[in-house]
Amino acid sequence: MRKLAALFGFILFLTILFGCEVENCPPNSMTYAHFSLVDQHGRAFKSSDTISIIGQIETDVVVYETLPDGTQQSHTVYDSLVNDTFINREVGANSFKLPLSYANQTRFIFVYRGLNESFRGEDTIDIYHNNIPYFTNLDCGTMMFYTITQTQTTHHRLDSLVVTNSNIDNYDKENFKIYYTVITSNE
Amino acid sequence: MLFLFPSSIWGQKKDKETLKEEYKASPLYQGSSIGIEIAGIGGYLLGGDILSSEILLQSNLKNRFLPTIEIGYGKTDAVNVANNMHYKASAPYFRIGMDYNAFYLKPYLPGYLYAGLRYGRSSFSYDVSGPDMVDPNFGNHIVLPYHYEGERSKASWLEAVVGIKVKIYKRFCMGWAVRYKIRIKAEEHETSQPWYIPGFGKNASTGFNLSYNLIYNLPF
Repeated sequence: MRKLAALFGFILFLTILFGCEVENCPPNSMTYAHFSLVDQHGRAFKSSDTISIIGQIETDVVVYETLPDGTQQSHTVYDSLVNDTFINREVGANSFKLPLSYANQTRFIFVYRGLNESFRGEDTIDIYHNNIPYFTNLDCGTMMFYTITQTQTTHHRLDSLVVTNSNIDNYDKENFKIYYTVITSNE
Repeated sequence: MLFLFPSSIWGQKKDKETLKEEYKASPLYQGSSIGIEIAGIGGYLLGGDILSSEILLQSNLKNRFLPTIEIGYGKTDAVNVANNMHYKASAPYFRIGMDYNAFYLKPYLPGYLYAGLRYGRSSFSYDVSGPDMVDPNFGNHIVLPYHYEGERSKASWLEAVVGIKVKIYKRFCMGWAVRYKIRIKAEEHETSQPWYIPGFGKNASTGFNLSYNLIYNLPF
């Protein structure tokens, strides 16, 4: 009887201990598209070029104009191009994490510069996606997840873009492989 | 807990063989009881976000096995003032299972300690809404609302129960129990997962819960 009572007391203690509310919000509340750079054999490599990446979307932008009488007037500029630089002249990169927009299409412009400015070129990657707002619990708020529906690229420097996982969420996983032709000294 | 079973009121102890003989001779059906869980109501009145209560029906077989049905109702209408997220759900739930009286050979005691298992299930819908989502990476120009109503879901779970039941006056008893809950399934939607599951509590793979019952032993 006393042993059972002690057992019950212990379980009650555990209940009180674990009953304390701890909300586990995901450590990554932002979602990123993960790009891996690979050579023609599918092996990871580090780019010898410096790479800058500019994100670009087309959306309606509300601008505010101050009139001569001091009042502000807003008007919408339709189909404006909005740019943001996410990577600036990174050297020796073999992968990137880039945010998608809340529009249905996000463009990334990869700007390459060879060592000693021997080369300068660009590739454009267009990613079409469905946006999925997602709620996990009351304390953590909302996140935006994505499903890739289509991609288009230019082929100035890169060979191809392969979608390896079309679901972009807050788990750390590769979503794209970008293939380049890499010429090494012994090839 | 020991104060609930002072040895002076246990009555005269019988030897084990006599108790076993009495147990074998006892009828299979030894009555039923009905009860209400009030800890959930108390928690809500003290300012909690969740209101949950249930009616329990229990039969006594050989004073050893106690098949149980619990039918309840849970609701929440919670707002997190820090991020202005709002979640609302209300639905009935039920559990079915059985308790095992650890003191089945000692019917003279004023109470007993038991362990049991439950299978719980709820079908419910929920509303979830929050502030507009503003694209943080491209100049805050794109704003999307977050508001979903009537998202339907089903959930099922298992519970391990350990508790006590004691007589307080004539046919009236009280009991309290701790429950360890293991979620089996909770249907998610593309844009959300349920935050609160009626009968289970906050949506997690496992959970603990304390229940307090007022019970009436039926005269049949």
